[in-house]
Amino acid sequence: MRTRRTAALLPFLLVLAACAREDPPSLTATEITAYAPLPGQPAGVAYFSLTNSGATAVTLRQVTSPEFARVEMHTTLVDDGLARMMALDSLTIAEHSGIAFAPGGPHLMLMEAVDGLSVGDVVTLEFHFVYGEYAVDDKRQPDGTDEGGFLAVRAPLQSR
Amino acid sequence: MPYSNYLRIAAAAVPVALVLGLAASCHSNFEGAAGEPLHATVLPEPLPLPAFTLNDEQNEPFTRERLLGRTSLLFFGFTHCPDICPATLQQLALARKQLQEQGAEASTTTDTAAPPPDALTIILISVDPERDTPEKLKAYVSHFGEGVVAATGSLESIREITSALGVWFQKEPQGEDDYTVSHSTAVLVIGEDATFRAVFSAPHRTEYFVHDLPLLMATR
Repeated sequence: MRTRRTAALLPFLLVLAACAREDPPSLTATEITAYAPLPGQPAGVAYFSLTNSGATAVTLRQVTSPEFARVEMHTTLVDDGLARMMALDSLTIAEHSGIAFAPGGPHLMLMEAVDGLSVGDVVTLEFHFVYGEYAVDDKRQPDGTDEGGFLAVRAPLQSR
Repeated sequence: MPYSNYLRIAAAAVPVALVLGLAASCHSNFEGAAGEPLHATVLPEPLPLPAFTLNDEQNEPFTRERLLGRTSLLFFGFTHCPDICPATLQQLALARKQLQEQGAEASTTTDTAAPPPDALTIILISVDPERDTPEKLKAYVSHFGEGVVAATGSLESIREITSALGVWFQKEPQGEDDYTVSHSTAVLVIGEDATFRAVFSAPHRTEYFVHDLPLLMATR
């Protein structure tokens, strides 16, 4: 499951298994940085940019990873010099638009790593999204069928 | 008393915004130095820190006296903070390293603008004493390299310093059995005489610290 490779040998692998509905979205993830948990801490963090170059808004509903039992979307709200962190249930990316997961803003929390995971190992982030007529609260899982989309990217786990 | 009750909004604290507003009018104090801070806001008059007693990551007393004799950068955060706290500490540590290198270079030239090596200490004051034991703080700050220390203490002790400096923090429930801590994001510059002299407001950039700190440190 985990393959140790060097970053230089790892152009980010994009697997877009979106459904075959009309006008499927075109979602890409770039600038992916995944940080291992700091010493004694339960969560690592991941940052990236998501671009939706399609003509349909895309709602990112969940992110999973084989290397982490839990991946949560959070955002840091910095307002008037105060930082608050809150969980995100979903995040919508408008058509022909993009969003950056970056320090001080949206980020992924990588929690409960599999045993033995260490800096340099490759981790996979799996983005589950819905679009078009499918609402965020749609109970059907966006598992690559025509109910939604799936995008997987891989990146080496880094140390801060 | 429950933790959350202690962490009421520090209404009695001097709001940082007021400090900033007051400081803005006195920014010209540093005109005429080798340059002028471009990113930090300088207080019109240095504000003496009150007496306080915390414990550092070695579980040794950490008091106001520990700040004497060197410039300190205070950041109030906590180790479970996955985003802005490690990002800020990383930026500060990198800035310190770059300034050290500049200082080492300056020691062999006539350049006196750069601070001498080891003249700067980065201090994380944890506002989450419930989880941030000295052992955890030690493991955490050691990741950022030398010159980075941490301290925490009872909530009353922490508030002795946060109230005086206008720093705000509050425990926020997160789910049924978890919590996070909202907190100020500013980096406070404490002079060699243990006075609050300037503040960097978020968003932080390493280059902001590298540019301004030598100017701030050159001002007595």
